[in-house]
Amino acid sequence: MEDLPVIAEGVALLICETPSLLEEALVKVDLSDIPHHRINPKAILVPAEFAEALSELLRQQGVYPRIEE
Amino acid sequence: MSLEIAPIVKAAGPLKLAEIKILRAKFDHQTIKDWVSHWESNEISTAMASPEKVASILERIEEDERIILSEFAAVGGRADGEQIRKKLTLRGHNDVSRTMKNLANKGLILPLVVDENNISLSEMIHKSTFFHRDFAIAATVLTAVVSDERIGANIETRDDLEPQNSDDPKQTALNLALLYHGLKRKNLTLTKQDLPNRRSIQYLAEKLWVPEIGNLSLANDSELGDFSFLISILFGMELLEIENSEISAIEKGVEFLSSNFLEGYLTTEWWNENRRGGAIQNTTGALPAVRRYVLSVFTRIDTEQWISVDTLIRYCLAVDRAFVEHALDPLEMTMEKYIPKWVRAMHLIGGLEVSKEGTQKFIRKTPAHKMEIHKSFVPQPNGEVSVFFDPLNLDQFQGILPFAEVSDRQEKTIIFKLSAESMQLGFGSGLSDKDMVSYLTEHSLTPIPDTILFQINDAYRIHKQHTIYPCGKLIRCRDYDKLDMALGQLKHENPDAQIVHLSGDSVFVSGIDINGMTRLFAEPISICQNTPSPCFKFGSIALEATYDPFRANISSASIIESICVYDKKTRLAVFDPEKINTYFDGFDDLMTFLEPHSEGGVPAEQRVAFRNALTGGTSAQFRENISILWIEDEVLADALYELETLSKVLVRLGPFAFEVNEELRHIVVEELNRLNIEMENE
Repeated sequence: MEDLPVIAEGVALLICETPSLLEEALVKVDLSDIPHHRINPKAILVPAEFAEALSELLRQQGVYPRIEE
Repeated sequence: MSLEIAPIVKAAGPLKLAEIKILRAKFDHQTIKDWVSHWESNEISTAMASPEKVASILERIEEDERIILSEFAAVGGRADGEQIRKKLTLRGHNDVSRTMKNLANKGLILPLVVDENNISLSEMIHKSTFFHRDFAIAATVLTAVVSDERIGANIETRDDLEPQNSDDPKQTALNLALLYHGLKRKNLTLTKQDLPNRRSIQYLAEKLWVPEIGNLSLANDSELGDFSFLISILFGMELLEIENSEISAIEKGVEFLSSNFLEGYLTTEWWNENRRGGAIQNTTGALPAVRRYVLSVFTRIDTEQWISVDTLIRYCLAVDRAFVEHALDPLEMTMEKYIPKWVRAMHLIGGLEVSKEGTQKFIRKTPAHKMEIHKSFVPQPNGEVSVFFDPLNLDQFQGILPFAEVSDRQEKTIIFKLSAESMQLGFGSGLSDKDMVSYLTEHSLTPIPDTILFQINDAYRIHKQHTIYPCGKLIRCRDYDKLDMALGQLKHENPDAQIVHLSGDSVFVSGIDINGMTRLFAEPISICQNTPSPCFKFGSIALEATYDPFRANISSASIIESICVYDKKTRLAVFDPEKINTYFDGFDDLMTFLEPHSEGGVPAEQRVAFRNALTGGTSAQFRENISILWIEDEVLADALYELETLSKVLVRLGPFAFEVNEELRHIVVEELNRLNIEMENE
């Protein structure tokens, strides 16, 4: 398998100030319906089409993320 | 003395004597002769400027002619002929060209000629461009038309009335602003009857304050009607859209409150004054035209004083009864029924004030000073901002609503609360802590308490803790140097690009086109979209594969992480059958997932290994004392297998082949013999 640089398109990112904030957020929201991949202790990736759903889930739990357009 | 025509054309308003004289000099002998004959006076200019003469001439004119003169009077005495003609035609009159020409022949409307001389009016009238010029009426004609008893002369006005307590035009502005911001946060669903769902809008309605009622409780159809009316105004202002019976707000700039509510009312097609209850339905027809008509009549009553609603009705009927009947008859309405609804609507949008004396209702235009601008916020240490309504600037609401919510609304005061949620919504709409503080500072009568400053700053700190980048690209490259170089190039070419470093080999970027990124690396790159892509390569070791997590899309990566143990150093993924069993519904389901994710597919020996692992081991054995019965004809084979005798002793292996135990072979032979089927080796 060749080691080529990879560019993945259509990705949304949730990044928190600290790992514990992400942990806390992940405990609060149920992400079972949203495909996600924790790429580092502070961040998860979701397909872009789930960004709004993720944002809504967080809002429902009182976490109002900053949306960087 | 030379006569200058230019001032006439430039000047506004009706014609005065001097101007009539200048115009008269422009027309030929025949035209003047016709006017002299009609006015029965050789001094035609003087006659046109004489109130007594004008009054006697107006006594003899037709109703249609009077309507046209009224239109000229309504626009100040001077107008484009074509505009007047179109306006009246649109209102349902037949073509008024002939009537306008008659008026010109009689010298009651005068074409404003500029650089022509010795003009023949009769020739001018026959030209197609006749109406494409300005016309004016004499000042005496305007005065006479306005004071004509048939169109509301001697209007009784009052100056000793007071508006109703809750009569404040700014209440409307706040209502619309609250509704708009409320609908930005949550859509409004309509019932099957197109009514707003009362339960879902209760929270919104309670914050609205309407004249004569106060806070809307939606207790009856009339209140629901007022609510729907306000919604329809927002439609008229093009701030809402509807899809599948769900109304949502269209994102607009913060300046929408400067928009004209009146225009929203006049143009909305979502309100029908004839409809009972609060149904929100698109409606077409003559109503927008009637609204404008009544407004034009109301505007023509050039008074700052109170007039009774009955006077307005009378006036509307007198000015253009034909239009009123033409427009309202199909709706089974009369002007007497329509005007009170118009008054209520105008009252709700702050266009007029209402007063009552006994059973009689009076109205007047909203005085301009009521819209003056002052600072009116008083921030309190408990996080509330009180607003005294009287000196309110409408735009102040527009600015505070994105980050504050109404906690209480009384007749003359309103209290906003800076809650955690409202501030977070404000930050979500793009405001910063500095924006909020500077906004409050600008509009407050008193300094902002430290507690509020702390609240805002703290909310902003919390807001910044979680950030979502809704759409971007993930660049992954194991060679850190190459990645650094590519990013350097990227920043150079796209200074506005957002770049988030996730690890040494992974970077998230947004705001860049993929085409610009493919040439960042000197070597070929792999583009991964959110569809399955080959990220496994199976070797000879069972249940193991080389895995490249960079090539797995997010959906796949989360599944792979659940069923494999991945060693980053060796890049080997070892599959765990137990986890596979919890995640996949058997072998076939697993293969459906693995095939598109494997370079070259899943090899046969790996499939065997997976099958074994998932079913807990499959055994094999040689069978002895078995004969194979082969039937060349598949149809015959099917028929034989349906025979009761044979179906008990045969085991079908395929379309042509059957297995039979040696001990039972004679039964098969006997049966085949009985059926005259020749056995080749028996």
